[in-house]
Amino acid sequence: MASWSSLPTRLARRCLTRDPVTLFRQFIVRALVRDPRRSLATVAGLTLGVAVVIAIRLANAGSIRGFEAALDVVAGQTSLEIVGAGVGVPDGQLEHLGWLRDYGLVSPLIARTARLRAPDGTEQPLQVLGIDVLRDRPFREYQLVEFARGGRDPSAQELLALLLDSRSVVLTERFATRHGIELGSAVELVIGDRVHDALVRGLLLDEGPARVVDGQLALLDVAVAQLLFDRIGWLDRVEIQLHDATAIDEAEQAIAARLPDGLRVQRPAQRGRQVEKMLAAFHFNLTALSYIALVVGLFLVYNTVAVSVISRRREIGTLRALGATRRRLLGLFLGEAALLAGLGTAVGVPAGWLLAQGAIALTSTTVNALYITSAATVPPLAWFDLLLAGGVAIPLALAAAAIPALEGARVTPIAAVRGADRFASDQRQRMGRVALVAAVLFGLAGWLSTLDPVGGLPLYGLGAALAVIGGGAALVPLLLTWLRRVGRRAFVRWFKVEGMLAHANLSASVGRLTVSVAALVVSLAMLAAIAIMVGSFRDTVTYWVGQTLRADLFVSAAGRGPAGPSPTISSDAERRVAAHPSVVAIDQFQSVDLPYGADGDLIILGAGNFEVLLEHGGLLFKEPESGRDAMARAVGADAVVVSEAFALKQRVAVGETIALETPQGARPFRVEAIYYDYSSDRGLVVMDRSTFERHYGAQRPAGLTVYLDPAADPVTVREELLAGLGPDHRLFINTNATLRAEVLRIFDATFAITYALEAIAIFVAIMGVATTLLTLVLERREELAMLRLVGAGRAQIRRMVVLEAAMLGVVSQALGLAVGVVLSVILIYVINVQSFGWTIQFDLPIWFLVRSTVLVAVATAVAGLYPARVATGFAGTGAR
Amino acid sequence: MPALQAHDLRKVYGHGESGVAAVRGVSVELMAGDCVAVVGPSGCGKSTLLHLCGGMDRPTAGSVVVDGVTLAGLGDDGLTQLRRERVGFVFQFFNLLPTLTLSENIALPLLLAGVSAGEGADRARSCADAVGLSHRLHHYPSQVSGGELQRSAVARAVIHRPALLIADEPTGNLDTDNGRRVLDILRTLNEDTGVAVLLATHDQAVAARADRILRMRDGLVVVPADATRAALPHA
Repeated sequence: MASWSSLPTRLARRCLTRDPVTLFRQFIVRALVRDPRRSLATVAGLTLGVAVVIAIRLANAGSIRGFEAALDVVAGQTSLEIVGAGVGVPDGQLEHLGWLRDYGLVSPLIARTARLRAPDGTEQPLQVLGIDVLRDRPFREYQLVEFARGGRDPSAQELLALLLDSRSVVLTERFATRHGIELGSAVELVIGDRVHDALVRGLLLDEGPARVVDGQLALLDVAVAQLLFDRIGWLDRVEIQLHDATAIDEAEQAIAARLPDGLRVQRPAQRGRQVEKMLAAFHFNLTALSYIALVVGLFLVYNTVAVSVISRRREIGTLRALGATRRRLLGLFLGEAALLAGLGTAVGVPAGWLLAQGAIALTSTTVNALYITSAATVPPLAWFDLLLAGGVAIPLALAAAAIPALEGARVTPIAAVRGADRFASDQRQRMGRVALVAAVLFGLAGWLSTLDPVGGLPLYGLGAALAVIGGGAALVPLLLTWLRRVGRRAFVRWFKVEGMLAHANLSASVGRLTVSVAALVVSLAMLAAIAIMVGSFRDTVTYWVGQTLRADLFVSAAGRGPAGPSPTISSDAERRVAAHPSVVAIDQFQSVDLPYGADGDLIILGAGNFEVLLEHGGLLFKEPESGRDAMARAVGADAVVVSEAFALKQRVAVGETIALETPQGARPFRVEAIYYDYSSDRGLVVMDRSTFERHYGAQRPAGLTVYLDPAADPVTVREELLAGLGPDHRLFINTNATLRAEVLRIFDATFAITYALEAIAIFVAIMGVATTLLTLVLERREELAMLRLVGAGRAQIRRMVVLEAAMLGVVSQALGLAVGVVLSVILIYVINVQSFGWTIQFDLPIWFLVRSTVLVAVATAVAGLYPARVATGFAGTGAR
Repeated sequence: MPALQAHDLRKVYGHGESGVAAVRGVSVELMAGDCVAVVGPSGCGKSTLLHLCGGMDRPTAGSVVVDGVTLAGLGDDGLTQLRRERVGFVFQFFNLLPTLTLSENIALPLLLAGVSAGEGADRARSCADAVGLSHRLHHYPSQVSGGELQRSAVARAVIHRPALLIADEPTGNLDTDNGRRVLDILRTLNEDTGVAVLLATHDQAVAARADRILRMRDGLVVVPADATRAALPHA
């Protein structure tokens, strides 16, 4: 006991007096510094856990930040806005809305996206505002470079002169500089499939709204925008700047009461809230997953404090003999946990910001494909992040450290001097109680699985998953005890003397191992569950794609996004496609966002040619069984087919009537059928195109689904169509094969972050196994020294410890797989359904699970190398 | 061939002025069947000498030859093999592995040497018989008495038929009766098998059971073992 013999009596005196800080520094901090690898491993584990939580929070916030920034730009000083049902506000309504001026200034707006082909050869996305120059000035601050240099603002007439020409466009100075565009130069605007020549007639100073979207902003005259975006006769919204901004509630109510059917008044922020709500389930599930890494990291704290207690039992006993109270010792070890958690938080928060850069890249593919098109950027760190991380990590770390800290505080002077009988103490397992806890938790999970979601979030489903995880963790001591009873003979037969020793060591340490193995079991169960869920989901989507994507070519305009107004396909382009001799049929698809129900959930209203779909398409109907007959009944009628997600989230059944907002006000539509759809979790309502046009007016389609003569080669037809369309039309034409590949690419990108988060959790858990083994090795240093004396070679000791590590990995994986299967059932049938409303066919990815089992065994064995190295160092004179 | 030849052994812990010399030029030789007791006050270097002779530690200077094998040329693996095949150890605190049964503890050196579990168990049974423990073979260390623990340790120390048995205070943690019984067993083994025994003790009565006594003080031999050979009767 060189370390104790070197402890000066000064230290002993300190612990009896009033200087806990000095004692903490001498007893805890010095020990942590003396063993830098273990201390660093613990801090690194916690850092990873905290970083993952912060990264996901920032990535979630960042994914809608771009959208909200764009929202701010467009909103400017707008207090309220008038919006129409899906397709916008009819131009003609404006003359009946003159009374709006009683409340404030009124300005019409077209807000769309386009692409600009710059002189540097690149094609850049732009937010385009079509404004009424004479009315819009009070709403948004525009500083034009040429006037700002002259020290004055442009007059309305001067602005009008700038934009009146149908070829005029105003860009931002930042954008122009970046892409080598000069004032007066010609550029090409790509809107839908058409390419328009434009002249840059003004540049906005790099300040205010021009800065917010990184300069990707263009201004057009509203009439020009209507023409270019196929919106003649329609406005996207009408904005109001109230005379008295403080009376916004009253004004909103009064305007709502006077608006004609088909129009609504809302605040600009409402659109941001709709997007947040749309993404809530996706973000919620990611957040829940991110906390797993943190929780697993906390097991490391447990281990570190346990090592601290075990390796210094004699020192603790001596302190107790000298008069240190149990409370003081408890405080020392809890302080150690708090110190480690504090360091983990301090490093983890900035690390989380860095990790968020990668996380946002992984999530943005999903967000862009399924929800909103926006430039996702990681927001800067805020004090809130530090408070969140510290507020979660430090209390949890204290809770994790409480068990070993209490054990340390309970050490008696006599026990410390004699050395505790580890083997005997570990026999005290109350297996009956543990089994009861597991049974209760599994029962609880079953009950929670039957409860409905709360506010669209699967809170009870998550509770059920946590209960299964808890139940699985409670099974760990039972499994280890069972292994102690039955595994010995097999271990000796397979691994000779090293197997016998490894089995004996593990059997004697059930109590010590339970927490670490439970952590690994939890991580591996999550991995197995996610693998089963994703594998099942992928198979389901592959089947769905195979059944439903029957068309040969899919035509869409440039810049099409998952939400917001879609760019349209011109009649000229449609005519040219239809004229190809191999084209047998075309389905024109149209979709708009539509608020639905009392909560204003943003659903997708789609319109397609049902007759074409019935003849050529392949929707998979959930109900009724005769879905095609039901769809036939909906042709031209006030009837719809709805996606499974819509039916589940809005609680709608076949035969019921739903009310959809139309420009003429809410209209009833009968639900004829529910079909499977995995393209969006927002919910789709689809009606026949003739029904759509009757209610919403004629609109250009956003996409064409093209069916070819069976003898035609889709790739050849695609090339011929593109050649025929020439440079004046910018269309994306996917063949069936490329679209299927794209669907699966987006699918895989969606779950890439899931695997990334799980990989981190497993890495942290394996570090936990390594530190546990280190604990065990330190605890039995005299036994190891004895083994060396009686002839055990270093290689044999190393094999023994590595074997112990691998055994822990295999045992953890076995239980993890069993728990994972149960967990996957909850993920698939409860959490997924409640979050996204999708039916997934259960499928066990056998080979993935076999591969992961081998990988876990190898990884844990590798993790055992360091403890093994330490173990071989206890040679020679350790025995007494 | 001598079982042990140690010549001018020196062991210094630490370096320079702060170095502490635990053994300062000790020589000792044991032939097969010899039993030598090392006696002296605490801190005189007894245990260090035993560690050096048993290949548990390396001397700062001097040489050790065990059963014809020169330790100086051996690496860690060589020393391990030497301990596994030619040396047996008995310690004051028994040092059995608490997670193994007495049978497994006794068989451990054989198992580590690659002998099959079945043969190891057979040999353990006969060794346990020899020390009067055949009824305790499947008990764990926590389930037997101190005397039985030390007899198990003795059985483990000789199961592989070593040339040299190192015993550091083998009776130091036992009552008189158990201590005597352990000593009886050691002497019987010593005489029957010819294993050379080098034991360290504080107890003059224990030392008196040896063939020769080597007295140490401050790392030096004050009375060489040969001087006591004639004076002591065999047990």
